[in-house]
Amino acid sequence: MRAIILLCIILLLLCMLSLLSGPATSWSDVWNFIAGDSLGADFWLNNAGLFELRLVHVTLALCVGFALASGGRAMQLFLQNPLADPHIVGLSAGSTTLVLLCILFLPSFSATYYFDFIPAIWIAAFVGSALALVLVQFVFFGVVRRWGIASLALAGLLINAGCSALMMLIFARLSPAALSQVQVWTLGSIQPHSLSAVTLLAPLMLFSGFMLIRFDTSLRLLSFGSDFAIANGVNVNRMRLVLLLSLMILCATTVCAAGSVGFVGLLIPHLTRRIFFHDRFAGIRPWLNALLGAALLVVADLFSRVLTTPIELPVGVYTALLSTPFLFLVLLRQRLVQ
Amino acid sequence: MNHHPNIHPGKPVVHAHQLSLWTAERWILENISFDLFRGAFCVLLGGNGAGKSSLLRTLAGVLPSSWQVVGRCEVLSEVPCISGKMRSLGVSWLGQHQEVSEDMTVQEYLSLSGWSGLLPFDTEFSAQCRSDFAVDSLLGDRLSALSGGQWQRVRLAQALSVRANLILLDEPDAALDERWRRVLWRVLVERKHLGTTVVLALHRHLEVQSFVSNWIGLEEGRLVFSEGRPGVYPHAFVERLFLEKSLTRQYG
Amino acid sequence: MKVRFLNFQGSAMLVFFLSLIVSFSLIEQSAFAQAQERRIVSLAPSATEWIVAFGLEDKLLGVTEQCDFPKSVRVKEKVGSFLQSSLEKILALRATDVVVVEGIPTVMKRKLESAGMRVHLFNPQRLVDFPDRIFHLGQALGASKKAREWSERFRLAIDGTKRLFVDSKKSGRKALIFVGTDPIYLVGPALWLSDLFSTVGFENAFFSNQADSFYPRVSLEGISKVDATLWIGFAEGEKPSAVVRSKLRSLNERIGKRSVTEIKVFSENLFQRPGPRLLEALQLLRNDVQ
Repeated sequence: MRAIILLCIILLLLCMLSLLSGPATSWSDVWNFIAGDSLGADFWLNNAGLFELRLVHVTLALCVGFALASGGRAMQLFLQNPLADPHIVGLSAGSTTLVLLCILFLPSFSATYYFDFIPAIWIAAFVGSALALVLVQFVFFGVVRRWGIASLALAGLLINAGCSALMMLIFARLSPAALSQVQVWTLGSIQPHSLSAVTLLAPLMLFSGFMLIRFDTSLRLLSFGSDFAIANGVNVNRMRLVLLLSLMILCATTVCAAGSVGFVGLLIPHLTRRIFFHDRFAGIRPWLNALLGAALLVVADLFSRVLTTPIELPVGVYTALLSTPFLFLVLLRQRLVQ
Repeated sequence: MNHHPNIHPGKPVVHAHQLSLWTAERWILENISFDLFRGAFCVLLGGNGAGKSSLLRTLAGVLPSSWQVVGRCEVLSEVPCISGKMRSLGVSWLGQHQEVSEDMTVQEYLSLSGWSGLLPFDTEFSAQCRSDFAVDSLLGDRLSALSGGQWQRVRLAQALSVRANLILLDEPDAALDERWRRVLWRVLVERKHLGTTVVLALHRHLEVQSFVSNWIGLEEGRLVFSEGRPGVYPHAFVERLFLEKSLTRQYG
Repeated sequence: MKVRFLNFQGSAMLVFFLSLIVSFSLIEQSAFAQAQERRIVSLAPSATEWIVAFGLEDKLLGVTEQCDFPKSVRVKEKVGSFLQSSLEKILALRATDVVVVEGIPTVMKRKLESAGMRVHLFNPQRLVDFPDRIFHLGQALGASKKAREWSERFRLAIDGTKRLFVDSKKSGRKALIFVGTDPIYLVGPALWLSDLFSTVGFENAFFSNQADSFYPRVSLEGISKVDATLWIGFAEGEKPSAVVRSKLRSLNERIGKRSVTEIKVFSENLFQRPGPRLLEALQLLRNDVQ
């Protein structure tokens, strides 16, 4: 329990640091702020747009990290595969592809906003995710005719491959400038939505992450085989449905918020398992996992805005750059200890 | 001792009538009919592939969804299904094989069965189980570091730490040496005296001879022997089993 | 008989409303005067050159990293690169006008507009669109006079060149315009860059059924099917020019095209930017051909 509180405090500090930093404020301003000499309430009042932008970035980074880390852990338990991540089932690929198709073929639709703050393109993201889910169900109910982890992985492989091919086709039709913009987005870059849009998106992401955390015990039971899980009271069919639906919402909302960010779902669960390996963390491990994911994304977003200013590298670059050596260090340390 | 409301003294805990099990290709069980009452200690006998595991799975409701159950099968007056509710009725099942993909500690593994919302997890029982199978010394070990016998003891401790009304075990003595087998029989007999119905699929049935109340013999999915009189040992059937085995040894 | 047009109340009301109208227009004036306090951010090198050409260099607050002409803009605040700009920097500069050349993502446009900025898109497609677009950009930025001058200059230059080379067109010389050699990106026939060469008599040899292919990516086999006497490439500086020239030469050798007689490399910054220096580019071309 203390671990959660500690992580929450660290996360809060990181958020504050991220809110204060950016290309428009220098390090000395940040230091003055911390030292008590306020950046001035006037600074923020005058630069309300700036503050709103940073708030949007930090909130989205938090929620995307929370959701993706939970999704990664859930998928690794469910598919009994340490290399699984939330994109393995192909739902976010479907989402991304439909969004790209809309941008290419329906440019006026892609530019409209409903109620003045909801981008119409979000509908494409959700529909794409839902279509991919329907395809997955069709593949192993209609074709393979048997539910199994292998068939789900196979279905995901098919969808990922198909969507990759479609995306390549789309890329070939775009001009070089549009192409580079789209590539930035597919690597995962946090979109500067308006605050009202974020208040719609953030709870959805948190909710989908929460649903996956809630089923953590069932998933751990499932990792011993569905027989064992059924004998211990897990309604496997219902759980699978809820899992896939939550994953669908997760993938659609994270694509809306930041394109497809990789490596978070893959590496954070391993980090959590290595750092918090002790038994006393067994019950709260999914929460620690989600908080660690949120922290990684906040730091990655901070780096992307601050390190190569004024160019913002996609946040997906930093999630990979940060998590890989960290995991390597943790593994090395464990091996040395042994 | 709280019993499940579905248990009545006169009603059978397990009732099977013309029970058949169909996979996509063949019949695994054909026209099995028997009754088991409260406090029964039943042993399933039969060669490999006779259908013992499948029968236990049918009673537990742990079957692949493509397999079809034909006929009547009622466990605690409910039809077993894979929705996972058999656990809440107090049915505890332990299979022969179990996949292990998540390398957790024994402590965490044992805590899995005690998750919220499901009766009848009992901390008293669970502590008793842990000491019976001497699992306390293994609590910090990872599952991958356990020997075969240790793993089986841990599994048994997990399965039996529930206040069950029906215990279904599939070859629980497989990896255990004589000392632990005796512990297992002792624990099961204690449960039987508490009113739990026990159904085991065993190869080594001689050791349990003295406390078995029901014998069920299966051969290629058919019930060839059902004896409910306590103290009666199915000599003829067992000899036939052994005779068949020795025949194959002689002639290849 | 004189009829009193307005009685006392009527005239009082009239005076009142007139004064209201006058005062409103005065307020409008001052608002408009405030709006003159422009803070311009440019998100493309060509846009920067236009802003300077319109005489608004002192109002220019932010440029991209690729903006290098004239030299005085290099010291200005950088807001990112041509294709990726930092929203935060633009907001912090409290710009009133943002000029873009290619489209920017809708999300970013909405963010800028919700912060009270005007986003101006300057992307002429054909060479004939230039005079109009130049004028509209200048007008939107509040430099109508200068914009009109430049617009006229462009119109004259284009028309003049067309008239001069009107008979060369009949000679049917063809050119292939390369903007990338690895992979091969050509300039499609529906773009101003292609028009630039067609006014001096070199038709774009590339033809495609797709109307919207501005920068088509073509395979080696694709160009081997095309008949052209001139291959054009772009680079900035001596060494890069030599590199591009040798690349085009090796491409030519690979497909064994005998009909290609010449390979020319022009300045990238002069030709590929839809900016005021296109006039220089046009002059260069005219001198080269004649």
